[in-house]
Amino acid sequence: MRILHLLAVFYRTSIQTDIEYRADFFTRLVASLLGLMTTIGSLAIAFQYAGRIRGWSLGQAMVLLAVYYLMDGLIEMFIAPNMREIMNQIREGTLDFVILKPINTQFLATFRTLNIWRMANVLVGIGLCVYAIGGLSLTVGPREGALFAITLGSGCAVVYSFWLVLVTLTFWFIRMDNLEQIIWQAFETGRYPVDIYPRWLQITLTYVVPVMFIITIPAGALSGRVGPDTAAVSVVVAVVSVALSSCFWRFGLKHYTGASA
Amino acid sequence: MPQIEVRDLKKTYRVHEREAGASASFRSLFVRKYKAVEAVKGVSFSLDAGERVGFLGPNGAGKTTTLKMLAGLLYPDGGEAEVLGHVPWRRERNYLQRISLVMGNRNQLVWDLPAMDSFLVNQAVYQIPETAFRETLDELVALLDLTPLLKKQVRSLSLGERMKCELAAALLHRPDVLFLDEPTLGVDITMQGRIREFVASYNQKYGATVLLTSHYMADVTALCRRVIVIHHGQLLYDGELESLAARIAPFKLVQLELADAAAAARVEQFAEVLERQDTRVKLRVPRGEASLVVARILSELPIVDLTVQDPPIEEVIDQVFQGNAEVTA
Repeated sequence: MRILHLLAVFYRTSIQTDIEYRADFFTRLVASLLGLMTTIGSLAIAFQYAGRIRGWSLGQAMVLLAVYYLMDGLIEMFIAPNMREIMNQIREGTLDFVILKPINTQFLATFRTLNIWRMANVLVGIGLCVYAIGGLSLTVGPREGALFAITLGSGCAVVYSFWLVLVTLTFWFIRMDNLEQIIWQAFETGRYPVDIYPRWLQITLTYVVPVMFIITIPAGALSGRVGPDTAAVSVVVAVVSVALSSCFWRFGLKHYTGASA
Repeated sequence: MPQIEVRDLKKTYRVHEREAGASASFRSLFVRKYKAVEAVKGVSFSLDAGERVGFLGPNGAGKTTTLKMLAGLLYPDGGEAEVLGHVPWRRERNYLQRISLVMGNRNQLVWDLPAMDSFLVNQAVYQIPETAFRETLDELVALLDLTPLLKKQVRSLSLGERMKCELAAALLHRPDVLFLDEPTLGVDITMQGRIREFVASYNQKYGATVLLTSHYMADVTALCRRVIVIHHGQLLYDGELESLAARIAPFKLVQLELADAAAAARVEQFAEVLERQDTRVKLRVPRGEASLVVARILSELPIVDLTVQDPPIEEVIDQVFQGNAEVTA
C-alpha cells in the first residue's frame, strides 16, 4: 500500500512537470509515426520476395514491431527518465539527498519520475498491436492476454535491470555519456525477429543483451506462439536479473559512500 | 548524555592522479595512479542536545567530509561516531527520519516544479501525517515568509528564496539534528540574516541540535557560542567563540585620532603600529597591558578620539589558518 501511495505522489508531481512541456507529446508522436513508416516499408520490401523469412510471416513481423514500439514507449515513460536522472544526480552530487531519505534508495531513485508524453509510443504500439492481430486474424483470448502481460512485464524488468547495472557503473566512472547508446543500439535489434540474425548475434541477443526476453518472447505470446513454459522461463530470467542488478547497485552505492568526495 | 559523539574519526580519499599531457591522459585510461589524501585525521568532539555549534576551517579542512560522515553519507576509515544513539553510516530508517542535511551548493527541490510539490513528495517519503504536516508547514511558511514562493517554479526563484525553500523542505519532518553545510552560500546579506534568525528560532523552538559550517563568520558569531575549528583534518580548537579570540589573539586594537601629525609620529614608543594615516593611527596592544598603555597615551599625547576593540573574528581565524598562531584546545 505504501509503495502505491508513494508512486501516486511521485507520478502526480512528474505529470505536473510534464504539462509544462506539452509540445514534446506531439513531436514524439510525429517522430514515432515516421519511424514506424520506414520500418514497415523495409519489412514490406523484405517480404515482397518471400512469404516467410526464417519462419516469420509479414503479419507476425508486424506484431513484433508493435511490441517493439510498445516496449520502447514503456521504457521511455517509466525507466529511462529515472535512469538519466540518477546519472545526473551522481554527477552533481544530489544523489546524497536520495540516499538520506528514510526509504529504500533504489526504489526512490528508479521510480521517482515518469515522462507522460512518451505515452505516444505506447499508444502507437497498442494501435499497431490491434492492427497486426487483426491482419493475422488471430484470436487473442484470456490465455494469450495473460501470457503477454506476464512476458511483457518480465521484459520490462529485464530492461530495468540491464539499465540499472550500466547506471551503477557511473559510481566508478562518473561520466558515461554513451551509456544510453549501448542500450538503444541493443534494443534496436529487437525491431526484427531474432531468428533473422546470424547465429553469434542470436546468442548475444539471448544471453548477453537479452533482447529476446524483452521483445521477441512477448510478441510470441501475443501471437499465440509462446506457451506457459517459455513464459515461466522469462519470469525466472526477470527475477534473477532484478536480484543481480539490485545486488550490484547496493555494491556500487557502498563504493560511492565509501570514496566519493 | 551527548547527542552527537565523535571519537577519533578518520577519512582518507583515494584520489586519481593524472599528469598533464595527451600521452599521460591516454595511459591513465588503462593504468591509474592513486594518491591517498587524508581528509579527516582523527577528530573527536561531542555535542549536547539543543546545542548550536559552528564548525570552522578553511576550504579542504575536512568540514564537509565530517558532516557527511555524521549524516551517514560516507563511511569513515577509522574511529567511531554516534548520533542520537545510531551509527550514522548504517543509515537506519529511524535515524534518517530524525536528521537533516542542508547543503548550500546543492538542492533537493525539483527544478521545474513549485516548491510545494517537493514538500508533498517529502511528506510521503517521511510519512508525515497530514495534520502534523500542515502544522509544520504553516509554521515554516510564517517563519520564512514563504507564501509568495510556494507556487512559483523553483527555477524562477532567486538563490536566497530557493535556500529558504530548501530549508523548509529539510525541516518538514522536524529533525532533531540539523547539519548545515554553508547554508548562506551566495545569498545576499539581508537574506543571510533571515536565514540565521530562522535557524536560531528552529533550534529554540524544537530544541534541535545544530552543527553548522560557513565561510561567513557573521553566521557563526550570530548563531554559535561554541566553535570547533579544524585545519588539515585535525582539531585545532573546541570551545567558546569568545575565548578563541582571547587565546589565539591575545591583543586589543587601539584606534587613535590625534590633534596633529607630529603627535601621530610619536605613538611608536607606546605600542606596535598597524596603520598610520595622517593623524589617525591603529595600534596593537597586548591584552594585559591595554589599560596601562591607553592611560599613558591619554596623558602624554593630544588625543581627539580613542577606541579600544577586540580584533575582528575574521582576522583571528585567518591567523590560525595561516599558521601564525599556536592554539591549544
